[in-house]
Amino acid sequence: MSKAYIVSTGIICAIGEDARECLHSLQNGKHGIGRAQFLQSNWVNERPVGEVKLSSQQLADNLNTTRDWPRTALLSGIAVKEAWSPFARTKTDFAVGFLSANTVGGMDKTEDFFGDFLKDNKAGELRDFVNHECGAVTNLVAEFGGFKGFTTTVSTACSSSANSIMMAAQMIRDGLLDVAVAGGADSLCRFTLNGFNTLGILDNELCKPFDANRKGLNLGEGAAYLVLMSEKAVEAYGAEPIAIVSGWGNANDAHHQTASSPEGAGNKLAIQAAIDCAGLLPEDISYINLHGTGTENNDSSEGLAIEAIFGENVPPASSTKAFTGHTLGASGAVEAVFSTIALRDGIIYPNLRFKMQMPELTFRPNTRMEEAADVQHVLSNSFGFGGACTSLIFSKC
Amino acid sequence: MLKLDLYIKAFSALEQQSANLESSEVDTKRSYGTPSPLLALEPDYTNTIPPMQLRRMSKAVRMGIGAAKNCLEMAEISKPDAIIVGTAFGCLQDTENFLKKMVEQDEKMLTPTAFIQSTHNTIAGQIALGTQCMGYNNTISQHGHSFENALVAAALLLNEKPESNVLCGGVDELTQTAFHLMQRAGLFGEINSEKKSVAAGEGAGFLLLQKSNEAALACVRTIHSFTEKDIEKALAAVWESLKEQGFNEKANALWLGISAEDTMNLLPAEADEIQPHFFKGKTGQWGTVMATAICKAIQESPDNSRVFMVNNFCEDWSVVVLEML
Repeated sequence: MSKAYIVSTGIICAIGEDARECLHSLQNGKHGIGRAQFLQSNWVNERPVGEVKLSSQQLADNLNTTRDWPRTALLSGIAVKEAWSPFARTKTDFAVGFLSANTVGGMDKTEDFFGDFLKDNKAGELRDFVNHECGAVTNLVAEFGGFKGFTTTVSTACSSSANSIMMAAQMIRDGLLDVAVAGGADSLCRFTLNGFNTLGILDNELCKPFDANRKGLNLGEGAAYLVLMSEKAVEAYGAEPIAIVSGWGNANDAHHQTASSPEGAGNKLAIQAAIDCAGLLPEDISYINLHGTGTENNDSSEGLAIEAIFGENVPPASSTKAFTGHTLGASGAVEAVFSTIALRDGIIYPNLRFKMQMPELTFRPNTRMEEAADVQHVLSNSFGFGGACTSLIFSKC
Repeated sequence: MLKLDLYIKAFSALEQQSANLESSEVDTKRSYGTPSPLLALEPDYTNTIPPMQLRRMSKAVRMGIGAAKNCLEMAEISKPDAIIVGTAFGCLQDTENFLKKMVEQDEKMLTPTAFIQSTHNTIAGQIALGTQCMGYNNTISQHGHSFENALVAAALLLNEKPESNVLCGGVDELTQTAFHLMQRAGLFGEINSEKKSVAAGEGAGFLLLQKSNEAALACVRTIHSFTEKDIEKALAAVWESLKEQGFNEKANALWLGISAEDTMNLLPAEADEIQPHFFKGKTGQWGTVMATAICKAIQESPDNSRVFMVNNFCEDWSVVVLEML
């Protein structure tokens, strides 16, 4: 039995190429959403996105790898490199586990391949579809990182990387792993942009999470990872723990394939389970990093679930998706990194673009950048298609 | 090697038969060496899935619900406490349908149904919806280890909540496009060896897992999964893994999901006493075939025997020790 210590983080998303850049953007209210420069789609003028400001070629160059990698793998590799670099040279006997997550796999490559393929089924390059699967993306990065331990990919829509972090923490608890790089990645692609577009839940302007006049979400992309270690491994690596993964709750809404139940039944179960797992009470939570996509349905269900648990004492809460866009399978990990920084630096992030209180809620999101706050425990929510609901709690060591 | 001790209370898997992928007609003239796929025999869904929903459901989701529901009936449980699905390729047909329309219609006039069902966790989500299970729900997509890692997720959950009934399965569908592309990538046909041809396949297999041995039929004792591109190294590692898990002293049967040629290189002379059983002759080959293979092994093995199972899918290898109770 060991706690899962967070000893390092890595991140790339629309507001920065590493944790330092992301924090700088968050502190300065600088979001990363706008017209796509690299995503090729007929919708780029009408649907703003949170794109990483580097082409796939630039990402490949930065990683010293090949452009044959899907963009999701490139983003994943960049964030993994940042997270793992403090320990990459230390020799130990631990097999490093890699628990990743994504929803699109190599879809950007498949899209390019598929056009040619539809015209002639002998056309197209093998290298453009062999990495289509979610697991293939993980394997590319596992090999790149030299990770030889347990390797897996979770694919539970928008809660994917919250679940990979949960699994890594469970494995460390049970002594099945001592070191895990856990998180996830997803790149923008035509498939998801068009998919979300058909559902009518993309805002054609900048998204407004938890605002009464919210019109939908902006898609984003990115990757983020935590390096988790057992007590034994912390000692062996001489690592300095930043925080711990103290609680998790995974539940299903069992309501609809894409929509949340109006009262957020699954959300409520996941949040409560995470609080119980951490051995805390609702009043112990210092900050909630909301799932807060900016869709009518999500924010209402999530807000009501939070009120059901926290009553009139909802702690400061904000959605950082107004900065990053919704990075889908990566979002749980992106927000896990933000939560870790919040604990480390005593920060509570602002919820950008909030103007009007949602009528069904009594609480409003935090809109100011709070520094020097007393942040002891952070709750981070991730909800998705298929009724997927996962909440994580990060705590000071 | 991970010690899991997952007790199996009930199991259910779809059968496979050789069939034409385009017409779904049974291929009676199937001969070894030709890559004619083995398709899942789907159950009658009339009492399982409402007709309106069934029409829109892809084969992967239907198969998953069919096998899951049957597994629950066998266990006499209407609602499990947790649902975990391993799927290597996810919902391929819906992914293809949406992708094809997106390309052909140049991103115009698209409808959401195929997209919302293309998500990998549609199978686990729909089982949750059908059983009204609001508990733990997870989906693992790790190539040839998707189901094996789903078992690990189940063990982690059972350590946390020992009273849970965990429904854990492996589901993958074969589509024409996937079949064609996998052939192009050399996945099928290449590993044919003498009369032990490995055909492409698809299926769904589910286990009802629990922490206690009460009323259990079998137990997944240990699992060892690894990825290795070099076939010689892989076979050496499999043999080491078999020995480490007690093959020489304890094995009563050896179920292999590898080719006959690989088997000759795998087993040293002293292992001659055990005649390997090549399960992919009946099931075919897909990423989560181990779920179906475990179901078949439980069905066909005598009580108090130990079945050592080896699977290979591309570069992914796994060794599972199944103990019959």
